[in-house]
Order: sequence, then C-alpha cells, then structure tokens
Amino acid sequence: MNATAPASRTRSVISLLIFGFLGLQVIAVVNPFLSLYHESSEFLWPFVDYPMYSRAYDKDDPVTRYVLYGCVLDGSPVELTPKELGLGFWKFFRGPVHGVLSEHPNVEVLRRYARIYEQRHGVQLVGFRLENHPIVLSEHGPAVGTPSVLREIRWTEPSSSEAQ
Amino acid sequence: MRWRDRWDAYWFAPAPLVDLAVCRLVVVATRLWWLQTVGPWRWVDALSTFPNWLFNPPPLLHLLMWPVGWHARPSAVAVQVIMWVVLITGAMALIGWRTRVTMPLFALGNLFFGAYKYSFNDLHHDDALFTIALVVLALSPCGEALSWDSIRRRAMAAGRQARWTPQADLMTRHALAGWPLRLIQWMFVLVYASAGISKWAHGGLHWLNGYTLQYYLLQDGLRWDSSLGVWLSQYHLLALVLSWVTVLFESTFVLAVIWPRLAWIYLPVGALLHVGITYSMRADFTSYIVLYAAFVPWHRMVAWLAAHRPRPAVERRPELLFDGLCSLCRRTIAVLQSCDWFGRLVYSPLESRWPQVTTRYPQLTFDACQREMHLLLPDGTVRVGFLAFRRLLQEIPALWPVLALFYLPGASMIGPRIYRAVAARRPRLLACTPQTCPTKPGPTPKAGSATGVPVAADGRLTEPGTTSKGSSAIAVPAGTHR
Repeated sequence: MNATAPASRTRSVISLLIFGFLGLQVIAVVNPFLSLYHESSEFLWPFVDYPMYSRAYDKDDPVTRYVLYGCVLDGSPVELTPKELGLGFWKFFRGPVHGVLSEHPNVEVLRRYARIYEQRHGVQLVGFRLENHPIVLSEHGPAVGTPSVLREIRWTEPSSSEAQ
Repeated sequence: MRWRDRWDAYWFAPAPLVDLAVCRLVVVATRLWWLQTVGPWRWVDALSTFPNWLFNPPPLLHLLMWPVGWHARPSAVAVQVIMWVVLITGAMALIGWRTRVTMPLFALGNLFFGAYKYSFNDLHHDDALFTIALVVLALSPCGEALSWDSIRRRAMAAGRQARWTPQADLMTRHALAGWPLRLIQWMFVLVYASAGISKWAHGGLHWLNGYTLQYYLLQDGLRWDSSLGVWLSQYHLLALVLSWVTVLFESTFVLAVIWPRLAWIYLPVGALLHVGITYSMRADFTSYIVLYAAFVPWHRMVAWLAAHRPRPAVERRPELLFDGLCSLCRRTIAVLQSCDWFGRLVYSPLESRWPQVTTRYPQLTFDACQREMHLLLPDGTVRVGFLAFRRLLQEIPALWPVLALFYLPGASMIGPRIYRAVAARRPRLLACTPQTCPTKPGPTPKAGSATGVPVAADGRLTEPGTTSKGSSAIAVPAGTHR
C-alpha cells in the first residue's frame, strides 16, 4: 500500500458518503425541534436523536411510577406487568401505558394488549386503569407516596368502545 | 487554500493503516462477543412470536427486506440463518480474511438485526452508533493491515520477487485510512451534542440543579433494581457536580476532535461517565468506550512499545538464515515479518550473508543452510529446520497461539520429518552454490528501527561452536569464545 492521493472519483464518492452520514445524523438530532419527518426516533434508525433524561426536576418532585391494572368483569382489578403480557419493560411502557396516557387513546390497540392477557390467563378484561405510585426522596431514603388514578379506560363489548 | 483542498487535506491526509486495523479488531471482536452473549440469541425467538400488529419496522428494514417484499416480515428461520451468516462473516472479518467482502456482510447483518429488533416498539440508543461505525469501517480499507489478507498479500509479493527484499511495515500510511476514524469521531460529536442540546432545550440551566440527576438516579435505580443508583440519589452535592460534568462533557466534546490532545481528558471522563451510568442507571453505553478506539493513535503506541520494550541490540537478536532464492522461504519469512511487530528477529537471506556467516560459523555448510533454515541464537547455539522454526515462534508474541502445536507429544519426532519433506520439494528460482551465489548484501532497512524490518547491517555474531552430528542444535562449549 502507499500513501498516494486517491483518485478524484474515489474522493468524491467518499466525500458524498461522509456528507450523507453526517447529514443524516444532523437531521436526526434536529428533527424533534423542527419536525422534519416522522415523530418517531426509529424512523431513521440507526441515525437517532438522544433526548433521554432531558427534562428538569425540582427538589421533592416525586418519581413517577406507573402501575397498570386490568379491569375484570366483576369490577376487581388485576395488576398487569410487562411479564404478564410477555413484553419487555419498554415495549410495555411504550405500548399499553403510553396508549392509556395518550390524548386520544386508541381503544382498539389497547384491547389487543388486553387480549394477550386474556389468552394467557383466561380472564376477560373490560378496561385498563393506570395509576401513579410515586416515590419520594426523603431524608430517610426513598419512600412511597400517595397513589393516584391517572386514567381509566373501559370497553364493554368487542363491537363498541368508549373512552372515559 | 480552496475549501475543496482543505476538505481533502482533512479527510484524505495519509494516516497509518494500523490505527484503522486496530479499530476493526476491537469493534468486530466486541460485536461478536455481543452477538454471542446478549445479542439476537436472546431475543430472536421471543420476537418471532409477537403478533403482526406489534411489528412496525423502520424504513431501513423495509429496504433490507425489499427483495422479498417491501412489507415482508422476516421469519424466525430467516433470522436464524442470517445470524449464522453474520457470526461467520464476523469471525472472518476479525482475522481479516477477504475483508472487503466479509466486513460489509457483517455490517449489513448488524444493520438488519438492529432494524429488526427495533421493529417492535422498543428502541434503544446504545448500539445505533456502534452499528454506524461498523458500516463506516466496512467501507474503508480496514483489512489492509493486521489481517490475513495483508499477510497473504505480502507473502505473495515476496514469492514473486526475484530475491529477498524486506517489505513495508505496520506503519504504512494510506490516504483512505484517515477518513473512517475521523467520521466516527464526528459522529460521536453529534451524538453527544444531541444529548447536550436536548438537556439545554428541555431543561435549560434548571437541569443543572442537581435535583434532576437525583431524580433520574432514583427513578432508574428503582426501575432496574440498582442499589448504587438509589444510594447515589441521596447525595445532592455529588449529583450537582455530576450534572455539570455530564452537560459540559456532552456540549463540548467537539473540542476533543478539533484538538486531539484534549481527547486524553475527554475519553477517560467519558469512559467513567458511561461506566457510572451503566452501574447506577443500568443504561449500558459501554460500547461507546470500545468505539473510543477511533480516537487512539495506535501507531504511536506500537512505536512506543517497540522503542521501550526490552529488546536486545541487533547483534544480540536471534538471526534467521534462510534461502532467499526460494519463493516458499521468502513467503514464509514475509509472514513471520508481518507478525514480528516489535522486530525481535533479524532476517538474513543466505546468499548475501554467507561470507560473514561462514567466517563466524565455519562448522556450517552452505548446502546445509540452503536445505533448512538456521536460527543463530545470541548465545552461540544454532537451531536448524523444525527446531529453528519452533524456537523463533517464541520470539514472536503474535504467533504464540500456534506455539502449543509445536510442543504436542510427538511433535519433535514428526515435525522435523515434515519440515524436511517440504523443504526438499520446494521449488527454487535457480541453483546456487557458494561460488555462484550473489554475495552483495541486499537492500538493508535501518537496523533497530522501532517499526522497520530489522536486518543486521554489521554482521556481528557470536563466535563459532562445535556441531554435534545428528542433532539440530549446535552448542557453544561453555566458557569459550567469550
């Protein structure tokens, strides 16, 4: 091998590649601010933005802990965990939890998650209830705060649905 | 200087191939380890059972699946087959076998796995940059050094030459060896900048209040069962300091690329941050530490090691006498030289060294030296043939993995026979005797150079000993000739 300059064509092709890689990454970084394309980070994968842990918090802000319940016909709740649905944490979080929290919940999609539970456990669900069981950092370490219901969504029959 | 010239000067300045090659070794080895341990073996079966309504692939997977259908979902069998192909091509790319083919296949396979894995509403950021780096390396001449390809190329070139000439060394520079590493460095800048910009945009100065990091440490500590994270979350001052370090690091990482000397500060800080985040928040970005290999001037390390490693002067190094008119011998020596990174041996073609050798070692005959390679050791002993080969392997750390083969039971008995059988059948360029052989010394690179091919220039050797008939070792009687 030698250190002679590469051919002009080779340089041009590689320069385009460099522009392409850097350009795609820049687009992925600025997309959340400029909404250049799809809102999802996955769209340009592996060129993604890195917005994790970017929100600021104050002293005594409780740590949000979502707990999802499935509502059984008799009115009793059953806790739904990622394991219960065969999903990992993030699939669970971005699936049913985000689905319930969404401004316009897609009940049909939520029912699909419910069906996974129903098939696994033979129990029919008529809705989801999302609660926050916050953790507060006290002088004596982390402590559980007062739980609150964030949203409850019910559906009665497969053909009809309503969001509350 | 025109902008185009500046661009070319920055991206296409000749750079040592060894830097790129080490990066290939480190990145591919890490990825193979990941594939074997925490990679697709773990999740591919689970993903294949997910219903189609959960399958929402990124455009890249559509593109990769395009030959079988834009919306096709890869079957579990197809994913398993691709996994094996990726593992095999990765192993080949690691040793540098047909790197121009195996590296792109390996990179493509990793792109596929990433795109497939993130088709199920579960995006992770830790391996995006690693995947990009693999693609960049695949498009570069990363297999031109420290690879089977480069050894084979040198051996073939040595075989084609009319006589022995030492070849280029590890420090060879290549105009296309710099851009891949610089591109990976700039990708780091953008990735860290993205994290920094997000914090400034969403949290502003408020993010630096210490409570924010306490919050995240507690949140992830509880979520992922990290007692370290929960414990750290209780120390406000520590969180305050770490907040500033994190944001300053992410926002100013570009300085480490503009002024490479600053990388010696930024990289250790980055490594500590990633290790800390991994253990306290279970956000495993340690693959970034591996990718820091793109910032390390490995050629300087090799040069430094070669200069500082205890290495005897030329006259105290073992000297390998070989038949420089035999193409097989030249190829063998080229392979040995490729692996002898620290110049532990002196390689001497018999034809040019014979006058000095016969003066110092009158007991040796030209015919014998032509028949089998001779290793002249600093203590005056001489190893011949198989035993010479076995002994010289001890001097070359890169070949230590094969050394065990030469010490298997029976190796001392079978080895010399195999060696002699091969030596007797090797084709020679021309017949040569002490009277007809050219005795002019061949081209001699700087002896003792840290990285060059060390060929003895002065011919000083230890003094002659006595030959014991039938033995492959010639011993110098103790206490004599010193």
